[in-house]
Amino acid sequence: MSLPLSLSKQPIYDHCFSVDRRSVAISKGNDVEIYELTDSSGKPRLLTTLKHHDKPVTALDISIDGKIVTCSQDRNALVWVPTNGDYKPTLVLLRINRAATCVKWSPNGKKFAVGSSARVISVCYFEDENDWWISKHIKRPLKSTILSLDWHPNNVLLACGSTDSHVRVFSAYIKGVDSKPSPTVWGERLPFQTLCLDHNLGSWVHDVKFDPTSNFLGAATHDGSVTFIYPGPGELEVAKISKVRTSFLPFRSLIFLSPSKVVVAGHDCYPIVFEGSAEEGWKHTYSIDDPATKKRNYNENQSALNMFRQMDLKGSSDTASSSLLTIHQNTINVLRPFQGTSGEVTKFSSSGNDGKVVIFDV
Amino acid sequence: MEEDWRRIDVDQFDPESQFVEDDLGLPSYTLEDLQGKFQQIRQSIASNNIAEGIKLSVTDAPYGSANDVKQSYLLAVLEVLNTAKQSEVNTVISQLSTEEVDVLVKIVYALMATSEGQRSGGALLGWLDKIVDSVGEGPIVRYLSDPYRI
Repeated sequence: MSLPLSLSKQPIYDHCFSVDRRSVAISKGNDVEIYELTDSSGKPRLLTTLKHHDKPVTALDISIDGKIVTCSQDRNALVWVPTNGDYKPTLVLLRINRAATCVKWSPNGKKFAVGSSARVISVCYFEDENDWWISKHIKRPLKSTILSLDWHPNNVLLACGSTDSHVRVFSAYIKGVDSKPSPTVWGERLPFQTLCLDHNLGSWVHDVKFDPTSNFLGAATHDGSVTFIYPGPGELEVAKISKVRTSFLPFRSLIFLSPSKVVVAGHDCYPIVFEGSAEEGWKHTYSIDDPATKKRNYNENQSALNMFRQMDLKGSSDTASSSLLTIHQNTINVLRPFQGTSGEVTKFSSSGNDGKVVIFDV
Repeated sequence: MEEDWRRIDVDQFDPESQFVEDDLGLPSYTLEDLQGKFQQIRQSIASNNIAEGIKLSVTDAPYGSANDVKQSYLLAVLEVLNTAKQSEVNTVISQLSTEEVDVLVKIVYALMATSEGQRSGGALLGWLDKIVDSVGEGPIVRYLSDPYRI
């Protein structure tokens, strides 16, 4: 079963559910709207609109303690702190000269990272004296726009995917904010901006995620492939690459459902599941909301309204509906886990260019 | 204002913002290196073994080489593609792995950009059509984003 919510007439570039999963924040043009999800029969109710940006909001994220961070093409990010039922914006000093493209809270909610077209990742943390968020830049060796970011559960390591087709893992250790991390497969000594992994996937990297055990990475790329990268013992060493080429259109988003199962989605408008492991390799197993399993309903298309609509929009007198068989009617931009433990996700949510947010069962 | 300032490329004045592509470390073949391969391809055409000719063409394509080398490579492959009968195209494609089909699509697209390829455009489109029918749009999606170009 899946629960579709039509929330916007504009594309939704990013969505995020609150920690208790009772409300959802979506990007809508220059604003962010927060909807409360009432009982299953009722429609979602608009709680509040966060207005401050003057260019489209490209990404947003909600921290574990309920703070919302938004970033926009106007080169700014804002942290919205819940106060007396409303949200109060706090300034973030990103120091970038291009659009901000993606933003993610660290798991403990003390820092966040903003990726941008300025070939910079701004790692932001709160400064009490001035009551604003300040940033440190990760610059080298980034060569192009950052498209995705993901935090390691230790709040220090940060994975990023970029249009220079590289996947990289950096240390975003901030003195005074973080405690010293214990050694992991990614490295032992981790001062700020340490490069822990760098690998070229040969195509734009739209999304990159740590697996639930944090021992390897999964990446979705523009060539319709999913790649899994296993780090080796040496410095910057890659032990194993498992690349699955598919015949799907480019993928935009990827999440791990368990250490041996991922779901990806993108220009094909429905979620696609891959399963496997380092030893056996990965392969496509099934799709959720697969259009191949559905039948077109011709009865709905015989109305005069539909006929004239077809003639008006497409100039065709064909009675077949132009709508897709999938729930999403356009590219899926973002997938996020909705329900389940970190190692075993049972429900996930998606949002797309058709202005829908959909909750899918795995 | 006289000048169309919206079209000024501001990045060209910033030395730091020039995007330098990764060095892919490809071997650069010369025409002499490839003579052996051309010979083999011609033999497979002579013996009417299209499957082998295609297989040869899609292994170790000369990505990093000079344009004239690539050009003569493409023309050699074009001969194979032209010799194939429409009826045997499907069997040939079914014998190729995903990676090999990707390379074949790359070659077909590169050929479409040459005047020789355009003269036999019908055959090239026939190949592309059959590939999409049997494996879907994946190879085209990959062609568009592939840094390894012929």
